[in-house]
Amino acid sequence: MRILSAIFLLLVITDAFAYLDPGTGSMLLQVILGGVAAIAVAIKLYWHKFRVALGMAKKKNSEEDQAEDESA
Amino acid sequence: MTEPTVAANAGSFRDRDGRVYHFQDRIFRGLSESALENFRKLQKKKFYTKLVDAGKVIGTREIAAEHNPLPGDVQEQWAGFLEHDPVAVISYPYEWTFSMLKAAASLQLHLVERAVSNGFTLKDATPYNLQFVNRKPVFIDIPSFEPLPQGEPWSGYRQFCEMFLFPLFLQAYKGVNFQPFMRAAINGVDVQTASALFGFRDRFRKGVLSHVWLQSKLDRRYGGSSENVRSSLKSAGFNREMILTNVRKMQKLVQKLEWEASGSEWGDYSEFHNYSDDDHVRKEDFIRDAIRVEKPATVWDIGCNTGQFSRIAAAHCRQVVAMDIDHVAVERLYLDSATPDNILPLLQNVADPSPNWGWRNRERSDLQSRSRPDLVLCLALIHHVVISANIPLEEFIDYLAGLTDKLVIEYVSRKDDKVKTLLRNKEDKYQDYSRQSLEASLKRHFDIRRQLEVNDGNRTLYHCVKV
Repeated sequence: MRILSAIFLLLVITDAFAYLDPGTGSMLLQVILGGVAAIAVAIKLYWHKFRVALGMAKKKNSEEDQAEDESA
Repeated sequence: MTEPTVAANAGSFRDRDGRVYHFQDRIFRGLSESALENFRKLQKKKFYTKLVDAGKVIGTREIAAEHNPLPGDVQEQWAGFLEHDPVAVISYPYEWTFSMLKAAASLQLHLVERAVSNGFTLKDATPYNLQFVNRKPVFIDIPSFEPLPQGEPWSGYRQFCEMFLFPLFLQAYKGVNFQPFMRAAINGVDVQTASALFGFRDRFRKGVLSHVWLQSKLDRRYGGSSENVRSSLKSAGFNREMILTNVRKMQKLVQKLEWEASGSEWGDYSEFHNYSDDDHVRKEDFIRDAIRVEKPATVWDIGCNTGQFSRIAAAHCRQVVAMDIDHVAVERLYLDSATPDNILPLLQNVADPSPNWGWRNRERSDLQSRSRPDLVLCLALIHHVVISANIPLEEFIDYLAGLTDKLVIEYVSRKDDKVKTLLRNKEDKYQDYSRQSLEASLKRHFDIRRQLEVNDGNRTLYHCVKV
C-alpha cells in the first residue's frame, strides 16, 4: 500500500524548484508513511492532478481549482 | 564580595520561547507567555507525570517569582521560570556509542508517541535534548512539548531522521562510525548527504527506501515549493493517527537496528592485558588506595578501555567519566549490565578532544567546560599519546596538570610489548619517552606521593598531588 501511494505521489509531482525549504518534502513523506488511512489524504491533496492524469479533468489555474474544491 | 553570576546557556538560543540559565549550580529556564501556558497544561497531563516519574523526562517545577533567585533583569525578560533537576555531566551525541544514540532515539520516539496520543507533540527532535543520567537517557527540553494543532504532521520528523536515524543507519548498515558526522555538522546528516551515502543496494535495507531515498526525492522536488503544505495537509484531512502509524513503525525500525561491534583493537584488551594476576591485584589496590585517600567527587578515567579501573573508582566517588577512543570498548562498558550507574561512558580522543563549536563557537563546549575532575586516572595511555599521537610528553603532563590537582598515571616502559609494537614501524625520535623525563615533568606540577613498580619494572604507577 505504501509503495502504491509513493508511486502515486511521485507521479503527480510535476514541479521542481532550485532553492531549499527544509521540511516540505518531509511533510509530504509523512502522508506516505501515515498508513492506509493516509491514502485518502494523498488522493485529496492531489485530487485535481489525479483527475487530470486520468483524463477526467482539464488543467486549470489554481483559482478555479479552489472554486471547484469548495463546490465539491 | 562579588555577586554570584548568572550565565545564559550558550546552546539554548534556538527556541525563541525560552532560555536556559545556570545560577549557583541550579538550572533555570525562562519561558515566554505561550510556553508557560503550554507547560501548565502539560503538567496536568497524566502521560507527562508518568514520564517524569519513570525518569524519562527531567524533574521540573515552576518557580514562583518570590522564590526565584535570578537577578531582576533576567526575570524581566520572561513570563515565568522553571527549575530543572541538574544533570551531573552534559554529553553530546558525538561522544555517545551506537547503543547510546539508539537508546536516545527510542526514548525520543516513545515521547512523541505518548505526546501525540494525548494531544501534544514534540516540536523538534534533536539528541542534544537528551542526556544520560545513571546510564539511561533522560529528556531535558520541556518546552519541546506543545499542544498538537489539528491536522499538523510531526514537525520534528526530518530532524529525527537527520540527527538520529541516519547516523544509526550509517553504523548499522555501513559499519561507519557516526560520531565524526555528528561532530562535523551541528544539524547531523542531512537528507541529501544521507541519500548520497546510501547506494542503490542499501535501498533494500529496512527503512532506507522511504526515510532516505524517497525523502531526498520529495525534498528535491518540493523543497522550494511555495505551496503552504501545512494547510493543504490539514484541509486534506491529515490527522494524528497518521503520525502515530509512522512513529510506531519507526520505533520498531530503530529497535531492530544492530551494530556488530567487531574488529576493535582494544575491545578485548582487558581479557589479554599484559599483567600477571598478582601484578593485576597490586595495580588495582594502588588505584583503590589513591582514590580512598584523595576522596574525589568526580573522577575522569582517560583511556578507560572497557572500564576495569573506572569500576574501582565508581565504588569510591560520586561520578566517573570513563572515556576512550575505542567505540567497541566504550560500547561494551555502556551495555554491560554490571557497570555501575555512576559511570558515564564517553567516546573521547584525548589527542583530538570534543571542541568548542557551533554558533560563536560556544553552542557546544569542550568536555572540561562540562565536567571538572577532582582526580584523573591515566593508565597505560601515555605511550599512545606520545608515540602514536606524537604529542610531546611534557605537553601532555602540562595538559593533565591544567585539568586536575590529583593524578594517578601509569608509565609503560620501552621494554613493554605494547610500546615495542607501537615503535615497530616508526623511526624512534621519542627521546622524551622515558621514566626520567616523565618524573621530571610530573615534578614540575605535582608531588609524587607514592609509586609502585609492577610487571618486573616494565610499568610504574604514580600517585601525584599538586603542591
